Amino acid sequence: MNRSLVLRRLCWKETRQLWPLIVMLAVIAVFLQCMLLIGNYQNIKSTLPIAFFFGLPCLFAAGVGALLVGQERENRTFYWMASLPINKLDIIGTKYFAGVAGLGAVWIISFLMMLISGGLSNASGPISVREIDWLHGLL
Amino acid sequence: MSDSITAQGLEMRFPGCEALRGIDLTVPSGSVFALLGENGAGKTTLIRILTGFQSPTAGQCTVCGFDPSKDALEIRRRIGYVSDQPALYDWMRVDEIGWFTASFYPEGFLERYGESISHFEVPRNRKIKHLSKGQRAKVALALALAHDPELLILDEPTSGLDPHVRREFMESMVDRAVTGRTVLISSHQISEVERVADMVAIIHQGKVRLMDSMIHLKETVSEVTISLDDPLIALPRLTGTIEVLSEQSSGRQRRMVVRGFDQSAKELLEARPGVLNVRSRPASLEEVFIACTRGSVVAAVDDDRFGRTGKNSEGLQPSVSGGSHES
Repeated sequence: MNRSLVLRRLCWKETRQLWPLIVMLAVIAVFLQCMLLIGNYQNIKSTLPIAFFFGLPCLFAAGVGALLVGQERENRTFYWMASLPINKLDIIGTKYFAGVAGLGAVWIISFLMMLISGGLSNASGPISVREIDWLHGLL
Repeated sequence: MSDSITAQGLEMRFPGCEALRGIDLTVPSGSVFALLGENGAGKTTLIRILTGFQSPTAGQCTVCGFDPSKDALEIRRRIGYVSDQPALYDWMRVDEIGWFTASFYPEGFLERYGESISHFEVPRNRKIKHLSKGQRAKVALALALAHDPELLILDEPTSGLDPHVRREFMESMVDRAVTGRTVLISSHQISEVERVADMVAIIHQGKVRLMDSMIHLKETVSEVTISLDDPLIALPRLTGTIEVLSEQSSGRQRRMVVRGFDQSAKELLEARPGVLNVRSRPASLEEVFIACTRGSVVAAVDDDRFGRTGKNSEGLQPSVSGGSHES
């Protein structure tokens, strides 16, 4: 039994389980971008980039636990996994890794989305000065 | 012949519930061992302890020579386990789940899995969620068998399956035992295990009530029907190695399931004034099961009152309903 192969397969499984959440977030992001493009929502145009930056990772963080742990418990696949000769720490570790890596990826994507939506909402540049100041203040 | 499973004094207590109350069990290698018991008898708890999912409150056990509480991983490499409702990843395809599981076992897993899947005629490219219940059970069995385990543990494997699939499933267990592998089947489907099991243990309220080879059980346990001219007649006490597993009165007939009933016992009953006729025949496994699982622990107290021994090398405990005996 090759441990690196075991970890790769476990990561593959976790990634596949996260796929529906990633697709859902992508659909939400695209939907909001389209709304921004075709609609005339002046009141949300300034806040949408920030909403992207924080909203998507928050949604991901809320869903990742439910998908990687809650769903497995509900479907009892945890018990099937537990009947296989796999170290429990490997299962927990790959779930943790998949969750953190996924969250990191969503942060990057949401940052890019913020830049794009900032560009759409502000003709003077890809992101407004007010938003950059706001982020600086946070960091 | 070594033992695949041994258990001594296994106890499992949950808050407000005693699931196991001192289980002693020995499963010889190369046998099909049936673990029978009604719902809630403690079968699944016992299996969870044997497979290392749970640690017992008290007692010891070994599976394939390993202690489940210390070497659970080693045990899982050596056993195959199919639960009552196999929970597989619905989104995986049949060949995908084999490929995924193969990474946890030595080489050759995927080839044997493929052979089993072909034998069971399960479509390889179909997602698990699109399979019928029988097909899912076959996939779970193929996964459990693909590493050629020393011990296969099946917990209610055929619940919800049609008779054809059930029969096929059970017959494949006999094939395994022929090759020297051990199969532990937990079930309350008595008729189906009666055909395939070499040994049987009956669990009731967290205790092993009876453990014996199927052949010996059929030879020694009888259903005795006694016709009386008065229902209030007290029968003589059956002594020696005879054990009354259960007794029921119906009008002027008294029915008993008795272990070790012989000619001398028959003559003793027939000699009693008021006894018109004594008939005996070998009891079916279902009758033995019902005799062992009827009543509760309270019946043991009644048993003393009726002067029966209640003794049994495996802790057999008779249950009593109606009837009277001299003490």
